[in-house]
Amino acid sequence: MANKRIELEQCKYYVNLQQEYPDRKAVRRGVMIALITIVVFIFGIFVLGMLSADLAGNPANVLEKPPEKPAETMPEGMELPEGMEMPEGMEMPEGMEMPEGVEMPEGVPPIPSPEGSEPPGSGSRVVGPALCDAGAPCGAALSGALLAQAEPAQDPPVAEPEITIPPQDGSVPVQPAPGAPEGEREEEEDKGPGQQTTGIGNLGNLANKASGRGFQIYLLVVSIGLMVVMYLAVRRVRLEGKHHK
Amino acid sequence: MKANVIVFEATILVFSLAFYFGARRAMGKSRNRAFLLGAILFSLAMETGAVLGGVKNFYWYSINGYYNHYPLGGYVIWLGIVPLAATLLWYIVAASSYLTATTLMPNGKWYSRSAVAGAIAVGFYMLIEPIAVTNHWWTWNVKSFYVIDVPLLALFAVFLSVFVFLANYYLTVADTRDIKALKALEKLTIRRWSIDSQKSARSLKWNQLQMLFWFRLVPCLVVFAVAIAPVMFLLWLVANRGHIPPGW
Repeated sequence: MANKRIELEQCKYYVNLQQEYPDRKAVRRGVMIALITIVVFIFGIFVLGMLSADLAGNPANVLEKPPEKPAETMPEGMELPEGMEMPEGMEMPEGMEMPEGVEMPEGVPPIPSPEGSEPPGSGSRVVGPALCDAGAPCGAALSGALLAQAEPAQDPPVAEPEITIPPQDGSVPVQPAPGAPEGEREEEEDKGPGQQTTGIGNLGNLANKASGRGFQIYLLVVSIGLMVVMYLAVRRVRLEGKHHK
Repeated sequence: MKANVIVFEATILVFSLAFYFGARRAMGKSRNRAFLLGAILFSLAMETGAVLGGVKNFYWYSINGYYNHYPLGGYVIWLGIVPLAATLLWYIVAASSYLTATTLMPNGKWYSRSAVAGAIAVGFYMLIEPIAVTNHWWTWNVKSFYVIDVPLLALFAVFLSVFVFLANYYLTVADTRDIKALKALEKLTIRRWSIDSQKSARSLKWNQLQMLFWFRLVPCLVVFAVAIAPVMFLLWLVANRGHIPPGW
């Protein structure tokens, strides 16, 4: 009985050793798998970096304040025709009004205009029956109108946080929330980071160098450097494997 | 086009799984498990400290409604105030640096291997950090000296953290050594309450050694904090970007 117990203990110890100290062949294979995974990982991060190159070119991007959440309610005084429902995710831009004298046929929704404050009749867009009068096929005009309404991208200032125009001098302006009164804007500017990164500190400066490819070149150099280090390790493991054969 | 946090999180989860299975063969099943858990705990403690101390954060933009633009609202899996992806990224970087340093310097001393691994980890973060701040995967708030919008403090911190963590791993798990400076502390705490043994590290069973490794991460955190404090102060003095006040 005692012998069996000792045997069991030894067997358990051996199994533990197998788990904790695997043989060199398994170690070599594991190192190869791990390092090749890391090389692919570096490549993946590099690709993500390439996709972000346009954002990196904007010196204000890192510190810019995100836009407010778009309003989910219809503006006051705006009504949808009877029997019509707003498409999901569709929002009417603030300040939008129907042009005078233009009547929508039944079942056709009003068309949002990107220039909400633009006066009617300025020639920017003719809608509904006016298109029919101008000789355009009514069906096409209506489907165009529906398509225009089904595109929530009509109000990009709210939905696309990336659109910011970098200043020429490379400084990083603080972006106040849209719609805030001027007094509040000044207060917010005062509360922002006291010092902004300039020169070497700003990623935008690097990104805009070398004909706007500075960031890509930086990523390429660092990625290749890391991959070379990984390759050296993989090579060493392979050489060790050959010596043991 | 934007590489948003969802893409980052998914990438890290997939690669950490693939890497875990490779490292399992290379380091041994139980050793790799101990390394993974230790790395997650260690990085979680550091990142939580950084967020609480106003050095960086992962949710500044979510406060301002930024993540409302994302389909799932930013990071999905959080460990308190730190996303799991950030801690897994640190594990991938630390473990791959360890494997590379060990392979390149099979007969090196623990400190030289740890230093080389730390330098490789800095290389990794030099690649990741600019992409992270560009896409707002996280935001650095600290007043410091910045290079391409990455605080130098972050790169020092990566080197120090990986160095200290791997020094602990080499000394405790790989070389099973006793550390004289910690002997009294261990005798009063872990060896009395959890390990229940006063034997030298070499004579401990694997479970006990594992506990000792995790326990030694606490003094490692203290060493890290003590070492990073003067660097933080120096970089604060020569800062080229200010602190971002909360709620700005």
